[in-house]
Amino acid sequence: MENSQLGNHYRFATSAKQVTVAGLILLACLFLLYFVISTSMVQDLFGYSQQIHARVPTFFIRLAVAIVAIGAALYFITGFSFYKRNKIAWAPWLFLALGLGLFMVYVIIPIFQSMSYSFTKWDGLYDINGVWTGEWVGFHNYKLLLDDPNFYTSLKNNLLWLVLYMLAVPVGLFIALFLNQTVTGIRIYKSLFFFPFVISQVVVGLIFTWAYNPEFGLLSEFWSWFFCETKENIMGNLTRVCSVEPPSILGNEHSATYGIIAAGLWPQIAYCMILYLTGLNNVSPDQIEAGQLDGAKGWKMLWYVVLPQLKPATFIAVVVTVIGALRSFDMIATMTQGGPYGSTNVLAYYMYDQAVGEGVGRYGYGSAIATVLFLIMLVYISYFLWQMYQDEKEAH
Amino acid sequence: MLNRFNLRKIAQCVALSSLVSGTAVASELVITFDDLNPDKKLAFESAVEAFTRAHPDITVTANNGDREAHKSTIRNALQNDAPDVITWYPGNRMGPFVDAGLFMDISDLWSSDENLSSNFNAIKPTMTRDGKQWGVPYSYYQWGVYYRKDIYDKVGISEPKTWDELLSNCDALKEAGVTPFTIGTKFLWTAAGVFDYLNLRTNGYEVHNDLTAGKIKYTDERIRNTFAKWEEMLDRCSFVSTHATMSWQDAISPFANGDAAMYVMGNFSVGQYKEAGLTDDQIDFFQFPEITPGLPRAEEAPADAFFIPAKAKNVENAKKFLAFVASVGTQTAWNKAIGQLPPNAKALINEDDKFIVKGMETLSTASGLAQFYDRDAPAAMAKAGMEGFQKFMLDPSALDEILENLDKVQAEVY
Amino acid sequence: MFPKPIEQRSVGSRVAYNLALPIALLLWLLPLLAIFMTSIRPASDIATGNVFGLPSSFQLLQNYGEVFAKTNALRYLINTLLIAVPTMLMSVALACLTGYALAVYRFKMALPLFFLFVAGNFVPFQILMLPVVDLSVRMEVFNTVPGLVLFHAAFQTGFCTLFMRNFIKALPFELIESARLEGVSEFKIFWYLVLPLVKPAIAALCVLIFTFIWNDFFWATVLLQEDSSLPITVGVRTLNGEFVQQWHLVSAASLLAAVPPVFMFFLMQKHFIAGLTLGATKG
Repeated sequence: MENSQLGNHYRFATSAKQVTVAGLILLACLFLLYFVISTSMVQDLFGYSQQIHARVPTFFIRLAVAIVAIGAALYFITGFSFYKRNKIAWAPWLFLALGLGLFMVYVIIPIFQSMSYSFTKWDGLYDINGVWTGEWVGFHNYKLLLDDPNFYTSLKNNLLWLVLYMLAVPVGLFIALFLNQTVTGIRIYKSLFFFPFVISQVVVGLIFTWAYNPEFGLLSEFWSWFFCETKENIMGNLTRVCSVEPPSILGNEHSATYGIIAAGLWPQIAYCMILYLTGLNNVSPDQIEAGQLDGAKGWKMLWYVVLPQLKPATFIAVVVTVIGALRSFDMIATMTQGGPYGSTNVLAYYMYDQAVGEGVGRYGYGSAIATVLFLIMLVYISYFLWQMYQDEKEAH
Repeated sequence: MLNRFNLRKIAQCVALSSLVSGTAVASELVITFDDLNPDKKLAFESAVEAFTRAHPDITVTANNGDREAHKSTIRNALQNDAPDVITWYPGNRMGPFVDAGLFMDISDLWSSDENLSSNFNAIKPTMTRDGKQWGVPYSYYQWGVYYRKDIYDKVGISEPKTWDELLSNCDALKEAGVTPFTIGTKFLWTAAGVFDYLNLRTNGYEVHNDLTAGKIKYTDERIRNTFAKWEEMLDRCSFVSTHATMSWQDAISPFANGDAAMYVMGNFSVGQYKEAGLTDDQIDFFQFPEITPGLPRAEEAPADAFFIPAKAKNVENAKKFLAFVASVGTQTAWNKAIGQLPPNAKALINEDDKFIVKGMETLSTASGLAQFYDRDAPAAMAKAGMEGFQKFMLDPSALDEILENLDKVQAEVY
Repeated sequence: MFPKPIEQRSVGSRVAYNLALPIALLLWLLPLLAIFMTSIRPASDIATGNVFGLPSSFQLLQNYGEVFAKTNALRYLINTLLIAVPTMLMSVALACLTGYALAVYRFKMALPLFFLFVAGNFVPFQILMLPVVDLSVRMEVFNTVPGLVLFHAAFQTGFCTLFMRNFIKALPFELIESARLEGVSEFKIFWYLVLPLVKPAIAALCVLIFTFIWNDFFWATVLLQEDSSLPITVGVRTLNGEFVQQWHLVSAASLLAAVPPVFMFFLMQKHFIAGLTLGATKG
């Protein structure tokens, strides 16, 4: 009994040697990282003509030192008696440290930094001595927002995206129902229907820009079957003369946003479809049979028996569609750059445009737009977390 | 190629280690250029080659990138990755960087270099801010109306001198089934060219300058007059209908195909017309016609220039390069190659190129030179302004709303 | 099964269904087919408005060859790999650790921290943009591929943690309990017991993250500037500006950008869908 207590005591004691060695290595690494390693040092050491070329080697040198430092830190902490006594309490923090640290630095802290930028007037420049060139202006940027027609256009378009993008959910369900069969080759059909989701939005944007092009796109081609004929012009070259001009979908403020949303729906429908296909796979046959006994058929069966069972799929589909709608950026950047005259801007694109587009450089104003977008998104994030919280409570 | 590169690096390392560490390499020069168009790229590369021949002790590293991207990347370049020489625009567009102290004051070069101090008087004001000079221009070019001479001949009309002549030409062209003007406003700035000319011809250089400097409101009666002329132009001289989805290069195809007859453009576009299959006999150039009679004629003449970032490492070499760029020989050869005009008054122009000869004549007799709307006005103003111009072109009835919004932006930006 | 299997219906509707399938597919993929046809046409076809007909000559090799010869397309493709693969490895590795910590240990902060990861994952990119640029500049990794990888890895850790935590949570907890009772160290439990069990989740995450990063456009435009380090999505956008009115080349380049994720999808379809539909069947 006494012996084992002594043994326990020994087992839980701080090992001075481990802590000292690890501590010293850790200190040395931190010193190197902060005071010694820099791109200019690496540049001089290896003789790169430009600093940019020294960046990547510097990064890898730093990474190597950082890995040593992390190792030393782990060894340092595990040497202490408080760790040894309470492993179960400390272990999760060790497992979390790296991922959480990176996530804090790159995601959580920047959110608050952006919010603080939104109270400044700053063009993003530091002067030659690295001194910040901005000034604090309080709520000025938000007041400007309220008076900016482009902001309202963006807000209105965001709303349009939210509403119309939701079409992806029922259409996805419809296609999923259509494909939920067991005929030969259906698996290939399912994969091919899912195809658009895998392609980058930039490529989807380019495809549709071309399709919409009023001169030689897919739509104008259809159009000219009905309304156009090819004639010789004054110079004897062939030219197309149309009795009704083909619509310039992306060139008209009234249709451009719809055109982009339609393009965005294509991959989004595919996403919702796959969610529902998986959901349909798990619909319980018993309940369907029970429904049949009750005389439910077709739409009634879908509404009263199948859909309730698809609720988890619907939830995910709605969440990803909302997030996708609010994040829409790539499509707008490739298809219209917010034009014509800013009529296809959404908050995400307008923020980018004001902050860094063409060197406009309104960092403060851009951050105010980003903050508004963030607050809108926060509503949905909270709802999602609330749902998750309910699930967690149920699980316990 | 890869091997040679590595060898050079190793050699540098060896050379370095024999020196005291920390001393900069004395014979480096890093230049960042921003034009990938084949002719522009070639002209830059041959100038660099000539410079290396003249200064064999200097190792030049030349970077070249896309022009539109450069407008955003330069911010980072100046603050963090400073080369020794970089291209940028003079006028107000260099303002933010000068004010933040990111460009180097090179007034000493302007005063000590005999060529710079004597042959660049016309353009010196645009390179000056706070009484100091910040860069050296390598080229500039005229704007105006490029037109299909063969179509004009066929329709039986001639170069218009006045606004009324232009309008009646348009009537005749439309009669013949030709759209008078082509333009591609997807990237907005082309519309600013039309606006600048209408404003310069309606109100003159002073008013235009005051507008871009933020001293006159957009709702000013004089600016409204300009837009009234524009509306008249939209009405009688219609533009190609799909302009909002076209880039300026896209807009060349109706011009080349004979569906449109005129194009308000800069002289850099001539190469593209020829690439599209048009010959010197088919295209010609006239100055934008007079609107308010008797007004002194001002022109658009944007210049491109080289600057030295304040963080440049090899300043002496950079100054050598700038002096070299300014020299009569370089300016002559460079601009001959790219079909533009040399800012150096002593430099020769290509007498065989009718557009260059006309451009020279146009600009040397002009009463004032504007840099272009998006260079004269601050970037945030220019962006809003050009969106407004595009909107006006598509929907002239929204004029009041557009102008009021521009006033708001103006109040915020300046 | 819902709807009613087609085999149990009349012959007529079976025939109709089998006919409708390919037609629906054709319509669904029409834009893609059209762009593919464009990518193998000569330039003259586009000028004459031949969009639907057979190409006047097949130029598959010429067009795709021209894209590689005239532009940095190859460099862009390599860059994308250099960005996507390390990001995938890093974020999945980190998420294994964090997911394990949040699923296995019952400590007060477990749920709030988990929600922090989930919430961060849904945040709009724009609210991160300027500070992340600023941070990258200060860490001297702005405008480098490792700088972009570091950010992507950090951001994707959010999604991966959500996934991993839920996956590990569903494992039988008794296994871990009994290992602990036998005195196995915490790290050994993670390494020898849990990791082998989460292999399917790792596979699913790898495929997903690879595709996400391959298709990323925003962060590459924001954090990279030099042409030589751009990924294919940004590259294709630049090509669109360079190839004026040469839609046969633009479409060839676009399809090139789309091939690897599509390939990955068909190769790892099961994992891909398992990853995407996580939660769609729960409850």
